[in-house]
Amino acid sequence: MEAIKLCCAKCGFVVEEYTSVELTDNPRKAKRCQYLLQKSSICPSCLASGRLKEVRTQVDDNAIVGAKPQPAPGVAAAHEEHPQSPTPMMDAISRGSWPSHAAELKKTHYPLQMYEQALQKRATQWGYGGYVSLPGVAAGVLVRASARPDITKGSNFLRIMDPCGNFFKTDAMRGLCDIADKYAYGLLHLLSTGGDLEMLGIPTENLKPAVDEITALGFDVGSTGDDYRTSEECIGPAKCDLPLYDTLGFREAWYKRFLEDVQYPRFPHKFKCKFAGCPNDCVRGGQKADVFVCGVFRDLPIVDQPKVAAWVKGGGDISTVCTRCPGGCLTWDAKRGLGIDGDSCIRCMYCINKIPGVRPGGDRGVAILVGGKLRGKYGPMLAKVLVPFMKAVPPDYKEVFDLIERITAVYDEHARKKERMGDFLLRIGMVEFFRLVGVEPSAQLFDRPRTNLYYHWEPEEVNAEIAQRNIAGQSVSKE
Amino acid sequence: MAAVTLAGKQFEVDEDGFMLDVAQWTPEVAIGLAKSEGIDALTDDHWKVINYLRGYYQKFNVAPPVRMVCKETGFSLKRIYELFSTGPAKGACKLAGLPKPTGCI
Repeated sequence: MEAIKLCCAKCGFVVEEYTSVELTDNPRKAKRCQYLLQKSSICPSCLASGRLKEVRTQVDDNAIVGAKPQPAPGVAAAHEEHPQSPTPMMDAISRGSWPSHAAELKKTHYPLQMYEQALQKRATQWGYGGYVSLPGVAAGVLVRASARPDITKGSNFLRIMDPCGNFFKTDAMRGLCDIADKYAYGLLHLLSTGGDLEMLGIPTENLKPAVDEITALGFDVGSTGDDYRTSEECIGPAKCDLPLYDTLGFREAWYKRFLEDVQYPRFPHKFKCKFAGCPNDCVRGGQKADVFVCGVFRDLPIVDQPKVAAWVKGGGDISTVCTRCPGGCLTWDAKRGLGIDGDSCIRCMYCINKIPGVRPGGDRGVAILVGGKLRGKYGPMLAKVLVPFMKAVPPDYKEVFDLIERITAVYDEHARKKERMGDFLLRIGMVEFFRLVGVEPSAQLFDRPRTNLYYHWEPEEVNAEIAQRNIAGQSVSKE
Repeated sequence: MAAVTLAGKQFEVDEDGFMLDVAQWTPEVAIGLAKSEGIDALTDDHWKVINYLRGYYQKFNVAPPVRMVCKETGFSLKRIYELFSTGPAKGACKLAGLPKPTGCI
């Protein structure tokens, strides 16, 4: 067999590598090889442009198959051993004044060639992903297959629920780091976009002992598969001046009530909950969450007139703020101060964010929105308001959690397999969903009067009206 | 495609060990399959779940949602995962002789 290497003519860097068998078997690869040889390209290593050089070498057929030494059977190695191969592209990345991810990866047991080859070939070398249930660990293990079994056989990940507010005490973090060193690559993913912590690269034999040690530390493992994913909350009263309810306490209570559903999959598809303290929505719940609990206020923003006046005197651009108010309800007068038109105010937080001295109102609660998502069958969708206002009463938030439970029960019963909440709502319609959940639609759910002349009347409404008219007509004729 | 011999009979199973022909199922088959799922002996609680799954499948020709299994058998989700360690979708359905549930397991 012949190995065909397409190298840079200047530095000799191998851009693509084929075997003669591959080229005869696969016409697409042969075509690509021809194409690369005919055109001028830029070397990813030395950045010189020009034609690539073809180097043909004879290789033994057995040299490629089974080149990697297999570990002795029956021994559960903590890490796969990777040969010290050259990593020119990663070296190039780690040069520079900033801390580099490539330099960090090199300190761990991460299979460096997977990343190096991905950089060289400009395509990821990892395969598909999925979840598995182990005895005793129903959810929490992610599997990532490898498209290059010659480098690594694949990798398992553990998803660990982070404490509320993503606050880790240093001791707890040291414990997690020790476990990662002992059983995994020695690499933690802090924090994933779903609001959890991932421990990367645990061999299958080590999963159970690793989970046992993590739970002994006081952390919980879970949130993969068709269950509640780890919820995400904004930092709320721990660091922010705007939250309208205690997001951290709310999430703590949510975990206490729904932990079983986080750890044991049962829904038709994944189900994400996000909790934002105010309509600024720092957790992107409106775009991503199946159930989004957002802090809202019912009365008008509270204006501290002397403070606003001082801000304007100090150079605050009040005219721009007034013109850009989405509801168009702000007026500024030097004598009367800042005025807010209550009828057109939509409580969007714009003036509160811009002007010091304007604070959210005192009548506070939460709004429940459903059906936001980024993927799924019909693509990205924004969440829709189900309940415009309800009180969130600590410590157990019973009313809100009961509603969330009703929503999941309806979703569980009526949604199809692998159908996200947004797709489900699109299929059955919002009116039907209101009926199933048992929530009465209110006028606050509509942001403007209807412009469509054509309207469908229910037969009962029309028949009742006709019957009433007939009765009235009969009574008139009798007289 | 593979074949296993359980209770003196031969059955065709797929690559994950699910029976291909639902009609061939007998209680002895469940006892035989239990060993592959790491269950030593099937208790009354196991049988309650298996019988419910089979009854539902015969009626509707589809495996029941997990919520229905919990509601009808009276077990919590946690208890069902304790009984069938690979979960209600995979372990319990396999023992009840139901075809492999679709989706990502």
